[in-house]
Amino acid sequence: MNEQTRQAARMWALAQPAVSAFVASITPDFQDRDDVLQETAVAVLESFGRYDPSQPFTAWAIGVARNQARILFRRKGRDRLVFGNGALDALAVAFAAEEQEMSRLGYLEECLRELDEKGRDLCRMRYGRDLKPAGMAGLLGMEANTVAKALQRVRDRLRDCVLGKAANAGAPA
Amino acid sequence: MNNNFEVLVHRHLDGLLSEAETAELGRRVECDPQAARLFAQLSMLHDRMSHLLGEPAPELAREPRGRPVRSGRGRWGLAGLLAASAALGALALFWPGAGRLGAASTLERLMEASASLRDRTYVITDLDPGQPWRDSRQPPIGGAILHVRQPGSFVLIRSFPDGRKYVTGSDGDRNWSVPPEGTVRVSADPLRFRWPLPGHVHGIPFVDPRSDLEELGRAYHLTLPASGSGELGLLRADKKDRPGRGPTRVDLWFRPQTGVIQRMVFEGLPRERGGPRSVAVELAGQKDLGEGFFRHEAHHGPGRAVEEED
Repeated sequence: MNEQTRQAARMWALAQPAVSAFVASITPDFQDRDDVLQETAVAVLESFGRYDPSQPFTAWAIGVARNQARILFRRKGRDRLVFGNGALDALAVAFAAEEQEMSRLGYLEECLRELDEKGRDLCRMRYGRDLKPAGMAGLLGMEANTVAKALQRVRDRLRDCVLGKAANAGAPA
Repeated sequence: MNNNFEVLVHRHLDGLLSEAETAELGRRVECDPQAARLFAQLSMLHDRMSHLLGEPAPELAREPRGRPVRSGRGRWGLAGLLAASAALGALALFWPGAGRLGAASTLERLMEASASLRDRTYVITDLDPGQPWRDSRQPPIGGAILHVRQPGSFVLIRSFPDGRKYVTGSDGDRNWSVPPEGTVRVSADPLRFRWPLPGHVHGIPFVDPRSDLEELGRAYHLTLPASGSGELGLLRADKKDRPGRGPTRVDLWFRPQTGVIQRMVFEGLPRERGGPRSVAVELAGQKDLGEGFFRHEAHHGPGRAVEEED
């Protein structure tokens, strides 16, 4: 039991970034993501005995997160998750397979520093304050659609930067 | 990969898709593994940005009747678990990084981050499982769950090998003990029933993180070993006065972006009452546990005898 708990905590620490990203992609805001992740962490520790070690842990933890998201949505009166079961199954596989992306994202902080001031402001509003493009548009005096496109360009720039730095460092693309 | 698909993913992440577009996005990721992987990559970037730039954990506000409420993104998961409280996360962009700060500055930052935490749940693991537990009337500390609320409240749930629970705790005013059977005892003595807490008999309890971290700064040599693992930074504290009380070494593993301590390892614990020489205490969650949780009544049935010791 003791060793099991220790092992669960270690494996969770490794899987958590991918699980967090999965949850963020199926919940409408970061507050919901945080709630689901919290419940997922507890559920993973409590049900670790049911984990089959011959299977990838991250995929299993994503399955736990999916159930927790469903419970949260039900509690909030929403009838279902944003995607159907087939899409969620495909995403669970994809997130588990893309774990190496997380190591590349170690360069993200550096890339954020290299953004121009306007790009950083957009990021701070979107991610620091959890504002959606419509909310940002009012503050910036812009159309929501224009804000959304600007955000997309910033994320593209960041992604290119991260991939470039990872390639320079010899990481697989 | 079609550029339209990328646009669809970006718009999904920003909450801009109509129901029909969401259905289209779901269909694409279901049918095309490459599309699903691109979706995952973009989502990982999106998620990581929120962890890097997330607001500092909001202060707990109180409603007039005293019920604690949280505002904004206060209920972080693991430790995050998650980079849980995201404390000071907004500074992370321009902060030079924990690894380049001095150990003392890092300790200050951990103290600042700890001030923003309220209810925390830890899992305790025994890193020295070969050592026998001398007192068979008490369950081992390994596998215990510890819930903590600042300032000074805790609930420690230890389990016997047969599954029976022994719960001790404090509501901040009175300490209490709920054994698996028999009388529940309650005491106003601030030290009563606290001894099973890791570090308590050693002068480093962590129920009150700020004062405990201050104690570390006073009584221990602090260093920042370069061996931080992956996403976690490491602050190491080695005791200045070896013969004195306290573990000989405390390792604090923390999230550099937030300053939230994720894992504490106590090594060289004195063993007057048996038990391990080393334990790890891992942050498992930060969830509001409700007003009554730290009172003994929440941990036993209404029919139990309760003895007030004073």
